Amino acid sequence: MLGAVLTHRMIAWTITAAILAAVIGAGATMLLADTPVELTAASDTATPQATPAPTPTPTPTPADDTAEPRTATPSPPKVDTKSALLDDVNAEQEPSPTQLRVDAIGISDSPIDAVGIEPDGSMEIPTDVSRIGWYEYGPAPGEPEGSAVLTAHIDNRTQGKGVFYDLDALDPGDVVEVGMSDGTSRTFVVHEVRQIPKVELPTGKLFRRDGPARLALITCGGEFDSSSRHYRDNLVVLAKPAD
Amino acid sequence: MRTRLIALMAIALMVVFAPAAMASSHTGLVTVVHGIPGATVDVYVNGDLTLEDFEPGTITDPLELPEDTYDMEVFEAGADPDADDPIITGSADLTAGANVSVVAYLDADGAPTLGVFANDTSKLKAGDARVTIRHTAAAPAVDILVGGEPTFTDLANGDEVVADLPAGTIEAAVALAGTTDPVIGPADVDLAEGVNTIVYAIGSAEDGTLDLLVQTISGLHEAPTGVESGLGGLKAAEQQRAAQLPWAIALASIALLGAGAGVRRAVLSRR
Repeated sequence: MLGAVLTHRMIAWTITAAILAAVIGAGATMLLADTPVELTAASDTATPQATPAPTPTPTPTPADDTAEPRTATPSPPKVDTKSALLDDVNAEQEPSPTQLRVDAIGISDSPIDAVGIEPDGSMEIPTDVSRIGWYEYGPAPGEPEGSAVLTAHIDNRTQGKGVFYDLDALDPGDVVEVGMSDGTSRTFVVHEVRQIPKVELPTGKLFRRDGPARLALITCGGEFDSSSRHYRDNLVVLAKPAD
Repeated sequence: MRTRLIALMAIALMVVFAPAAMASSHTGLVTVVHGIPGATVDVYVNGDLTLEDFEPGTITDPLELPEDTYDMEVFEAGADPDADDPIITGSADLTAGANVSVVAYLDADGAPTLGVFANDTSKLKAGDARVTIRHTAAAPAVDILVGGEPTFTDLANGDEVVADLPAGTIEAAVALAGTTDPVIGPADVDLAEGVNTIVYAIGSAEDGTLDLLVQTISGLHEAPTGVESGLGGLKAAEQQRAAQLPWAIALASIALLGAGAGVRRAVLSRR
């Protein structure tokens, strides 16, 4: 009898203790809740895409009757879908830049060509020094994100001075206008003019495809190495979209 | 009795802390591709309805998910998952940093199946594009013709080829292995710079439902190595002249002074 009472009391204590532990545990979890989230964020940013793509193991199994009953296990959120049909995916033509006007240095409607990459990995530039190249793989001037890049040769031994010959004379506040293939025009305001040694040219930043919208005008400058027939520096003009 | 008490407390603590401990710190990206013509489906992931009325020829946006093993069941749209049989079941191991495509497709014999393909997201040289071609159609081995030429040969159902090439548009077609008579295409496929364009051959040769689906993964670009925008040296020469001008004036002045002094001396000596 006494033994039975004791046992019942012990069971009662056990249940009480378990509930207490649960309550304390819940409190502790709430207090600690921020910490794991922070750690997660930190470790994620520290290794973005750093791990090589591992080989997943495809384990398709035939449909059968042994499907487990549905439970409330963690699952991905519901997602948007889109058509993957070839005709829907092939990119539409966005307007591209066709001419440049910079009144401050006498550039009036100089033609712009879409250009890509030279075999050596540098940006392609029109051989005609009166023409400007637009890096077609990056954003077009006026796109909401990233850096649109226009370059032209500063000069050439036989053709003489190029369209960007006086680029170094630009000052912050000067206006740059880009005419587009759809007939519209986009206006930018110069905010920075810099001469940078070619070996230090921050190509990753100048050609970035995300981040704030801007226009970069690039040509050569500084000393000329007559043995390699190249200038030592790049002249970079950065402009922001006019409001 | 005491040990039982401790054990119960331990269980209570484990239950409470389990959700926090399960929060994974690493994620991967998953894109689901529906390559089975004619079947609108519901997709259940770990037992939850995740894609409702998922139509053939569509793909999801990339889903960022914690690394884990995911069980998937594909039902006919509107089916009761507790009563009806799934069309396909399968599972995928997602590892941190991985980018995978989970593809519902027909195997070589025309049976619905789920495949998990790892997508190549390594960086591309400036100016280059990547093309991935996956044979996910109910058809025997095929050759991929680019511009009419057999370029990737003897691709079996479930196989893929990956190649990096200069960005641009290719004319692609699919022919049975060893032949050049297209069963799909030819079709123009845009290979954008810095993008992995993944082309799926889907459908069934027997049912006449062969088609191409396209998934793209962008942001694999790298910047050009530099800008070589001057070959003449005129600007440098001009600047050099400008820099030399003061010296030239100074030298000329000295010369003039010297000449002047000489003349003066000559005049004086004549006296």
